[in-house]
Amino acid sequence: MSGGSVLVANGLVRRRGDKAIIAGASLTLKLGESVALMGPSGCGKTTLLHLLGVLDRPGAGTVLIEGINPWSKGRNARAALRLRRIGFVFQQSNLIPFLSARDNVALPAWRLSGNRRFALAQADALLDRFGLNVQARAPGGVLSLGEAQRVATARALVNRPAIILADEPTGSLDSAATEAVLDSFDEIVRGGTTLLVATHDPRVASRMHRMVHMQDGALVDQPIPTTGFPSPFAALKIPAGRRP
Amino acid sequence: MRITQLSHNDVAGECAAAFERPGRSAASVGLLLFLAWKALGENGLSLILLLLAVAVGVGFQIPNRANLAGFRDEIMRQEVSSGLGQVRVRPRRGERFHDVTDMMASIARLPSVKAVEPILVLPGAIRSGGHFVVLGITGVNGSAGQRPYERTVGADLVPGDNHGTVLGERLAKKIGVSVGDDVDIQVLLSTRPRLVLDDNGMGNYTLKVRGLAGFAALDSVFVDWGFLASETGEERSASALLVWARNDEVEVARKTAVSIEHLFPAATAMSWLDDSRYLRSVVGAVQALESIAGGMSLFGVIIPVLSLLYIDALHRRRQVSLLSAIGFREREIFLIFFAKALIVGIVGVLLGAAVGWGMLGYFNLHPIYNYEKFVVRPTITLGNMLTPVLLVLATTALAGSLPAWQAARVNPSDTLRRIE
Ligand SMILES: Nc1ncnc2c1ncn2[C@@H]1O[C@H](COP(=O)(O)OP(=O)(O)OP(=O)(O)O)[C@@H](O)[C@H]1O
Ligand SMILES: [Mg+2]
Repeated sequence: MSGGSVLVANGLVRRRGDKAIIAGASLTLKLGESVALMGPSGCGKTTLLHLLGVLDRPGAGTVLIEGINPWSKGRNARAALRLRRIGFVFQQSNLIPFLSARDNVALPAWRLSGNRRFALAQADALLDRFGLNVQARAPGGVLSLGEAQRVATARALVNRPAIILADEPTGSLDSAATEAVLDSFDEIVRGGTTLLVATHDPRVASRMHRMVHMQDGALVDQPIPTTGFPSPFAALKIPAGRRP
Repeated sequence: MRITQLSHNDVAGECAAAFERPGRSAASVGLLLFLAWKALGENGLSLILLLLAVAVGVGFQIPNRANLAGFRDEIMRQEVSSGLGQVRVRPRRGERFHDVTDMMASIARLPSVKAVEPILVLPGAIRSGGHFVVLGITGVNGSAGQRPYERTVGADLVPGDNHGTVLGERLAKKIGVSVGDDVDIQVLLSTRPRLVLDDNGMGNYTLKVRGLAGFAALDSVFVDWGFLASETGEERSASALLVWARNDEVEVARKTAVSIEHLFPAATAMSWLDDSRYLRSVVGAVQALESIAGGMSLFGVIIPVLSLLYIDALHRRRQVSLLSAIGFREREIFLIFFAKALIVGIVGVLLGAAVGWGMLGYFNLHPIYNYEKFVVRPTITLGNMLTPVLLVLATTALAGSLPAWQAARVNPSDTLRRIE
């Protein structure tokens, strides 16, 4: 790992059909840093997160996670990397519906440690921290969206990954639930975990250390909106990234 | 505990030590079974349908196989063990062996042979009251342990009984006699043409009916072999030797036949299967029915199980992708779905075996065929129970592995981008 970089992506390309959705995207995420990934709908944020999270293989370019290129390893090694070093939070339907909230959170820890009791203890501590003990025994399928997102965040954290990738985690939440999820993200980042959040929501972006904007399949650094909430599409009209 | 102890240089917290351990490379069996079990419980109706499909497959096959085996066994009993034996030895030329003493001794010494007995069949007739029936008169050894008939009423012939006879039940009914009555029997003692016109060639006897025989001997007349043979002037002669082997296996019978022909080139020896076109077709028909019904019930299992599990796997693609994103291996995802199929298979098969066992009890009390002492009861063997159980279990596992494989190969990236 060079200079505390948890994730280094270089020149990523991902094509769908004859269209390059990701075209030369590069990104470095430092230890303990939180980054907002913004950009208009359909620009390729989800696609990029899947590449960074080793769920999808780039057509060109490299992803290094703590210095390791997962695509030079076998499938089992990639699964192990996702298990230990990466936590995912998706926009919704994050939970296994037939497992309780508690079992959902415990699942990665059980898989990693082989010890159910230990995993449940981890899950209980996290649910407690996120104020979810009341819902711990409810099946994943019956939780409210906000509860489910916080349970998913707890699950992403349970194996103490180096990096959390969150894809519009507050996309379908009201402002109170959004705040709760953002508070849990603050906790994560304070604990030294790196966080990358794809979002349309400037409120989410304003809580991150920095912001990158996706444009024409590449990433451009953007200043964090400090005063007011500019439209997330404003960046389209100010093509800062295109300036030489 | 605090969740904020995550940095590399500041790892603390009471459970931190657990994370420093290398962790398991593969998932524990308990975890995979737990997930399979929980997933099964999610949809009660499809679980019940799956179990029913498997249970019906087994529950139908068990009594079906047992009844077919019972039918074959009943025929075998009548035609072979209580009939003409597993191997039949006849002279290659001429009507009979003139002296079977040595032959019987050598054949009896073969390791696969349980018993060997002579029969002597001569043309004759039986008369009682106004009835007169032309038929073959069969001499059987009165001292034999194995006889080519099964007595159903009265007593058997004993050696040297030259006043007794055993009649087939149907014949006795036709000529209106029963045990204890006298019948007149005529036997053509010599088949040489010159003697046909000679009264000396004809034996006339009045014999007492000692017993009645059923099954394959419904129309036969039996007398003591020693008596009949000595009447012909050759007291150790026989038309055939009937050989009972230690079991009904056709291969044993065939090997025994080969050994006998090797010992006695002047004789032909044939296994029951080769000797009787009737038995051959019965055995063939039973086997065909067994395969057809067995195959059909396996199809009846494979199609609903495959489709239900397949639809289930499709329906769970997002869950599978989540497992994959969490860090489960493809093989582990396969095993979760395969374990589901196996659990369904094992529980369904046990249910089916219980139903099948109950049906065996029913058919034992109410045989599917019961006419004139021909009774087909289910033959209950470990094989008849286990074969359908294992076949259906294997079929379920097979039907479960395709959806499991399908599930394991889901591309998580494609599935997770869809919002459901
Ligand atoms: N399998 C696929 N085949 C063809 N095109 C695809 C496929 N997957 C994604 N795309 C296209 O790639 C583009 C980027 O999709 P992606 O989901 O990454 O966008 P996004 O930035 O996450 O959008 P949103 O903000 O709406 O979630 C879209 O135009 C989409 O239609
Ligand atoms: Mg998206």
